Amino acid sequence: MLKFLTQHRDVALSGIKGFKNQPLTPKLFGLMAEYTTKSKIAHANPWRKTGAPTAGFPIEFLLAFDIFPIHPEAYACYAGSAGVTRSAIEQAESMGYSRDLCSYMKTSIGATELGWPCDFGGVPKPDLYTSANMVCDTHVKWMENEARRRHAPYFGLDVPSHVAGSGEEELERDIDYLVAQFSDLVTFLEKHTGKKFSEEKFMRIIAKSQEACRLYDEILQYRRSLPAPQYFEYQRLFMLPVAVMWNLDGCIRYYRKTLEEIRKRFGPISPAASGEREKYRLIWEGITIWYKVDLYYWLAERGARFVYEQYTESFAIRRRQTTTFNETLRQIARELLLLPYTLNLEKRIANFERKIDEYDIDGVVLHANLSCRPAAAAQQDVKAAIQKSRSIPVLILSADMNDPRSYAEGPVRTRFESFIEMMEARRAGKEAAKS
Amino acid sequence: MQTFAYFDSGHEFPEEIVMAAGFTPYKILGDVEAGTGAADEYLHTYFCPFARGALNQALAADDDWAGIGFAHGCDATNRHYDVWRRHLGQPFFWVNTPMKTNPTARVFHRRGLDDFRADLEKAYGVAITPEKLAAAIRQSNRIKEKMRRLAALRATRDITNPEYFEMVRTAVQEPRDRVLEYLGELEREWPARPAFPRALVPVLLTGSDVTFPGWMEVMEEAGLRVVRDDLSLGERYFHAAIPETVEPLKALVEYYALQPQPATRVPSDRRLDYLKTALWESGLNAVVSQNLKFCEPYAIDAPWIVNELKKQGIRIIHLEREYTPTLDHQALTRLETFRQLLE
Ligand code: SF4
Ligand code: SF4
Repeated sequence: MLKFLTQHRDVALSGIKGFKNQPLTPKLFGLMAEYTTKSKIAHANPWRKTGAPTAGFPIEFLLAFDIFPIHPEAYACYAGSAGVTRSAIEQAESMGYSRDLCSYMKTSIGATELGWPCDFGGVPKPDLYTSANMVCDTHVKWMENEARRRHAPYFGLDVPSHVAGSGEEELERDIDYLVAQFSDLVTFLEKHTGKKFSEEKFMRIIAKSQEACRLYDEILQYRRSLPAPQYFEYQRLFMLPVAVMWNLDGCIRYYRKTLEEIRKRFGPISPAASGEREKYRLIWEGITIWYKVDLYYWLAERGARFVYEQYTESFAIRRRQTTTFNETLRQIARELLLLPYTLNLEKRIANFERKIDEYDIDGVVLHANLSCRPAAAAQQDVKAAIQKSRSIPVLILSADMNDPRSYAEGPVRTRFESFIEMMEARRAGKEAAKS
Repeated sequence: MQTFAYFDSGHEFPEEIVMAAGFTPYKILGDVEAGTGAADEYLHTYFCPFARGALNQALAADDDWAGIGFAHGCDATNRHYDVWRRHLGQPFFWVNTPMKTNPTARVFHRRGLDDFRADLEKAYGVAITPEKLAAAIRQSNRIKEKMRRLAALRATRDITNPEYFEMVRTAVQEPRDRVLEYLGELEREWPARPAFPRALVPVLLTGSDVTFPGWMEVMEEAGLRVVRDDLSLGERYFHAAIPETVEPLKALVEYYALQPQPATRVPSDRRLDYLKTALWESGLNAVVSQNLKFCEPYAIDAPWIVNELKKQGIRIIHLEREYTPTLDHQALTRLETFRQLLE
């Protein structure tokens, strides 16, 4: 770290400024620091291996082998929040990675190559890599290539696509396939850790991850309240403990305490007005723009707040409690196939409609993320469907989650200004109709 | 015979099941001349232009096809299926081909093929018997065998890049009997061609599938002759024969593991192995690697493939290419420079 601070002083200074601009509580800042500190020293423990999973990969399997999760995407998000991704991305591009490729991947590869610490996107060398293909090709290609580059073994989990029109029968078939692959995964992990898999231990970990997800989900549910207790710019950082699961006990304690505070403030979850409703309650679909927290502050000044995101919900999918080992494996498989972030178009539209009603939504922003083509697919259809069934404004916003070169402040604000005007016109119309 | 169209980012779609159901399989390749305009209403313009071109063609050709099938491949097939299904009227079928070829994946693959067979039977009221499947496999193998023999002539005879492209395009789009007839004509004609032109440099072509002849023309114009490749519209389609001595659906599963591997499959080392073997077998030392703009699987693999082949002493160039019917002058200049380096 010291070496980094001296060698890359400009990056470090602007990064510190970027972190300071985040809506962090001391506790959440402490947790973020805990994760990167532990990531850096994980290798010091010779009994503990480290493993690099991608988002959505069932980390509990790694934890069952005491593998510390080195999470490349999480570090890329740190770099994004710090606002220091540009030179890391350009470094990756100088290594032959195209301008059009995912900026998480390039931030990660570039920062690692430059020797940056994980707080700034670099990835300490893990003992093994794992990823799954349900979200994107990039997860698979990125981890497999990095594993090769860094001479570590790789395991790829193949998650079939549950496309529109598929039913329970297909789902059951696909679950069988995933459960069979979990067994291959266990064999892989046993081989590379030299440890035996313990069902009991796995089930204890699952029970904790289910508890963490349940608590996190209840907090998310509170965002239906008027006003919501948390907004996207905070939620995107708040999800870190459950997304990475480096310390499940600490994660549970943190969410339990947060939930208690929210319960005290809001009473039972109720969509009914419990205070002053936000002027415009919004849904954001897609990954956040990490380096532009100011955009969310700017919108907040205009009364526009994001109260639901499939993105932050997708990191806490282990919500249904299970008791037996087999039931648990099948449930994990089901959750992978029906991740809120990758729902097929029919289910995605239905989910939007449900959330619009539950969260009393005034407008939807679909992030046409230049880095994330899979997640931006079918947005035109989503927009048309929501506008038709719910008659609320929908904005397709073109930007990039980690690459500031693809963000144009002026046009973005202009688009949001007209979007707010549309919501305002709708609000005025509704009020006029009432009176 | 009615046409059954399919969209496939590799060579994963089981054509033989469609043939056994009494249809002519037709691989959707889009029409670069027609562009992507209609599809751009539904898909962002920063998505794979070939995939947009394919949807564009489907939107125009809607009524000509009895059904449309997709095989699980790259993000384009996996995420665009729902969009196609929403805007097109035909029956739609999804074949969940696996990312791997290990024993676990094979069991799943087999189940997926069985389901696809049953879905076709139900949708069209046909019986897809083992005998019909075996006959379709035999017919496919005859086609592949002829293509293998013809493709091998590229190294010794004057067979242009667009001609080779046209051979493969015909094989994936025309009625099977017509394909056999056409390949028979080529078998009579190609061996009598003049020897490989001395002015041209033989190369191996790898990367995203080349789906229109324009790019092959650019290479020809640059003086580079493709004598080996690992494309789906190329050797991936005919390199291996489908086993004929095992039960037909099992044979299709086995065949899948024998093909040169696309970048969407794991472990991708098998893709590199095929390239190295092809180079070694043909005594080639020059490779043109390319990816279509926005094609992630091949773009991500590019730095690795380029470095690995360079380590073997292979001369290699990597380009990102556009989806355009007009001559890509920038690519031409780079390829010409590459060719000069090879001379
Ligand atoms: S941002 Fe999108 S493309 Fe990149 S790793 Fe995440 S899901 Fe994949
Ligand atoms: S060119 Fe690339 S992105 Fe496009 S369909 Fe083929 S593999 Fe997929």
